[in-house]
Amino acid sequence: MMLSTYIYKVSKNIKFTIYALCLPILLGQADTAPADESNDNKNQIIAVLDFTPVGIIKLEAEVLTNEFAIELNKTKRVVVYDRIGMKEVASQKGINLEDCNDNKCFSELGKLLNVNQIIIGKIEKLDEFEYINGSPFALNVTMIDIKADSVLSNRDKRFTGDAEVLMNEIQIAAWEVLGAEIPRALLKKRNGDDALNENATVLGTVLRSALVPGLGQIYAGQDVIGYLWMGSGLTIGFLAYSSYDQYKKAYDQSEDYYDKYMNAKDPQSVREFRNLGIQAGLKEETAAEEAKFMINLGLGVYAANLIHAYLTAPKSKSVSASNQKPLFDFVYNQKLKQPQLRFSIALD
Amino acid sequence: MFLFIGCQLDTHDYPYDSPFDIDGNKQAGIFPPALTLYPKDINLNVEESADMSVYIIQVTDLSGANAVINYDFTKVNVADVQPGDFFESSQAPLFVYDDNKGVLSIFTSYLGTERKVSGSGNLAIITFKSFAAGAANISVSKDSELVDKDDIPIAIKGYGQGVINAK
Repeated sequence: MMLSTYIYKVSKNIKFTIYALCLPILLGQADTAPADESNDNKNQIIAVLDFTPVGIIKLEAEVLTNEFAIELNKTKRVVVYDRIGMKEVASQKGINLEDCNDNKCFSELGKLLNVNQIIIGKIEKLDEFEYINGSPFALNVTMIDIKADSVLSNRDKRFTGDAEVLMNEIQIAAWEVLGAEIPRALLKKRNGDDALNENATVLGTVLRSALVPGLGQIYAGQDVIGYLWMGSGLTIGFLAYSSYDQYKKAYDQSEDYYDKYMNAKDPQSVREFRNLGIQAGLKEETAAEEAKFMINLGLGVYAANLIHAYLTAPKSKSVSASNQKPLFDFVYNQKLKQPQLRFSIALD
Repeated sequence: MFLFIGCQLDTHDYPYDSPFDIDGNKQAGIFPPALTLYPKDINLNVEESADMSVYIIQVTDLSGANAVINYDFTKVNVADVQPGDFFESSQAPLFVYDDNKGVLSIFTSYLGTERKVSGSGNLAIITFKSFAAGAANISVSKDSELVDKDDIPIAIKGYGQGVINAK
């Protein structure tokens, strides 16, 4: 997904998120500092300035900063000062937040907002190319103690990915900068849709899937797909057994009628058992065909499950490293407005 | 489970050729009253024996029968002939057979009080023994005769055939 498209989608919800940010303050929670201060500085108010955009547009940086602020609130460790209110207050006092990047300005802003801590950051797109697997980004987030004029914590990281990856990394950075435990959901997203079991082996995954379809996938951390395989296997297994049961009944019936036919001497009985036997034979053939079809389908699903388990089983880390850039990359050059095939060699 | 079930999906292929099956016989071109053979096809190894019965189908007021059976004496011979249950009564039926190199004549008559029997039944059980590989044709000859208690012939409309395959 293109970054601008993603930003547009997020922007549509921006009002809601801003209101959500305002709500604690409107409810007076922002003034609960004395009670919170006694709780080891938890839930103290913190100001977040818009991250400086480099290689991306200002609106994108604003939206990403808002997401960062929302995530900070989710940590329950701090309350982010209403960012719209902050801009209005700063504007009224003649402070331009875009130029606020030194301690003097931070101190002035801190007094104005009555906050002790402030977070600043920078989002940099390192390359003008749009890669198939995303673009390289650098993210820097710094939390500053205004009174002590010191950096409380700093996160500096580089990664490659699309807009969703960027958003996820920003959300993770919010937890990291506070030193909080990162939610599993965010880590799952970082590793793909499912949190892969790093200890899972190909053999272990395939063997489990051989035992019960989908079990290997679940073991490997692909819960949803695993349960889908398991559900498919069980459904087809049930249908196959049901078909087999019908076949077995028709088989026994056919046998029974034939025995009666052979033992009968009365022409009427012979005729009756012959007809019943022939009908049972037809039923038997139909049921056998159905059972064969279901069994073939079941075997097909079983084989596909094994192949899927093998293909999707976690490989060695060097192979699965998501940030590893391929040797050849198909990119879109925005300046030339044309796709290009690029060759790159990692020097690190 | 799939493989286990898959290995068990054979189906019956019954011939539905009971000697008492009027409809089946008609489909095979044998109309009653008839003399038929059962089973029609026998597969065995050389030097092995097998029974083939002579059946009489839908006869009325039968008192005596002379069933003449032609067989390929270059491949099989007649090891034994026993009376069937069609003429069974308080008295054992008169039962005589004469085997003459490819032609087996069976004479049997009902000795019950009414001196006549109607319906269908087993007239005789012939034990053939194979001594050469190949297909030996067995057939009911048109020289066969059925008679009522007044010795009046009963028309036979169907004559059965069979084969013994030896390997």
